[in-house]
Amino acid sequence: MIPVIEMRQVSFHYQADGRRILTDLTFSLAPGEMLGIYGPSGSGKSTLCLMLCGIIPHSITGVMDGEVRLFGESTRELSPAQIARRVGIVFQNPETQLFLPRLRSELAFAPENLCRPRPEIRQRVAEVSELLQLDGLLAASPNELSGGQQQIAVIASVLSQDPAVFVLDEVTAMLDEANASNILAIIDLLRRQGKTIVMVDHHLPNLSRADKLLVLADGRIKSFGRPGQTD
Amino acid sequence: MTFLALERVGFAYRGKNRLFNAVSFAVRTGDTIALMGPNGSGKTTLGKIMVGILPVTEGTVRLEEKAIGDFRLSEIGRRIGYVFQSPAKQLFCGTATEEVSFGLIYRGWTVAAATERARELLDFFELGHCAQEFPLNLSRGEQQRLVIAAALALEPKFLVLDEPTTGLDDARKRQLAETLLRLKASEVGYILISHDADFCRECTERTLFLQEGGVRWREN
Repeated sequence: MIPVIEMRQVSFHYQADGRRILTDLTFSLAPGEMLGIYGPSGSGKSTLCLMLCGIIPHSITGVMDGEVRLFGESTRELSPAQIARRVGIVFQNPETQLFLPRLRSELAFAPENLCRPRPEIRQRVAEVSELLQLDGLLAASPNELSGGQQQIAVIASVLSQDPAVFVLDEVTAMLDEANASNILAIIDLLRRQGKTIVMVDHHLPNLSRADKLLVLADGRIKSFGRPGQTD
Repeated sequence: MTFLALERVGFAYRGKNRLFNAVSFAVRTGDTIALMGPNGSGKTTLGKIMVGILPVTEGTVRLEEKAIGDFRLSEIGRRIGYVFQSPAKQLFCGTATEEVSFGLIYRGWTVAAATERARELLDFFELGHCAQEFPLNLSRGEQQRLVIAAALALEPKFLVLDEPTTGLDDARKRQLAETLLRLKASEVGYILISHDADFCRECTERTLFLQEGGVRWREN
């Protein structure tokens, strides 16, 4: 079976003479598995996420050694559009992903660009907004939302994209307890639907649901295995 | 002495529903307070009102018993340090060292003295290895520690920190908690805007809950 994600001896630094952010990462993830990523701040977690969705190397330059493969193909060879059809990412800072005048437009953006039929787009927007209790905010400008509401909005926009792979970078960091629980329940639902999930979190209990836990330290793999065996 | 007082403060963004109504509370010098509430309840907005970034639409805000509108922002900045929810919003220098030394140089410190103080703070927050890095290339957690270091460099009387633990691992949260408790011991008060109930309980004496447009207090 071809792994969904495969990293082969990947190293990266943003500047040629700068500090190395990631060193010699090698791991793989099978279809439907969930990978938790844990480690101190500055250990390279977010950089790893940017590699999994192709932003590195396509949009962010730097020095990357080794190979990242999605469904058996190198992210260097795949176009950003090809990667985006398969991988949805929620950044750590939601403001950087919201750019349309209305929240409804944010949720519709991905299926529109995937050329889904209009009725399907409307249905996706309705389902996702109900799931995340955003019905009352669809007409709002994302700029008017609180930080936590923006985080939920971005999660919603990626859900409406419906990719095979979800990369989630600290998605509950700005949420109150009720919203955080709802998001974790949605992640559990995505797992039951067979989605492949990569989740970064500083709160280790949130990662207990993962099949594998990758612990980073100073850009290197400190441990890799089942949660409880590695942390 | 009352350091900061809000009297029947109401606020709505232009053309939008009111976020809160007739909110009144007072903060004494040295008080340590958590500000909590559901997403969208107005915590960040209230934080910005408290430091004069946003003007209120109703009521008054008093700083050291004078109307906050009578202060220039720079005068407020000498008294209150503010850490934004998104640290990237307050990073604008070419290196981490420059971020921390900027305010000191602006206040008349020599570059050498300001740089040395910046170095001490960067080392304390385990950012010494980032001293010459472009701040926007740092991780979110590193950026978070950097803006806190820059705020503390100016030795404010009071701090407002909006979600300061976002992006911090457990070890760095403990370090931040120890720093805040040291500030508390030296009579520097602060307001923590946060969802992290455990962190708030550890670092503050009281919690102000913002919900459905009003506030209520709870002792921690």
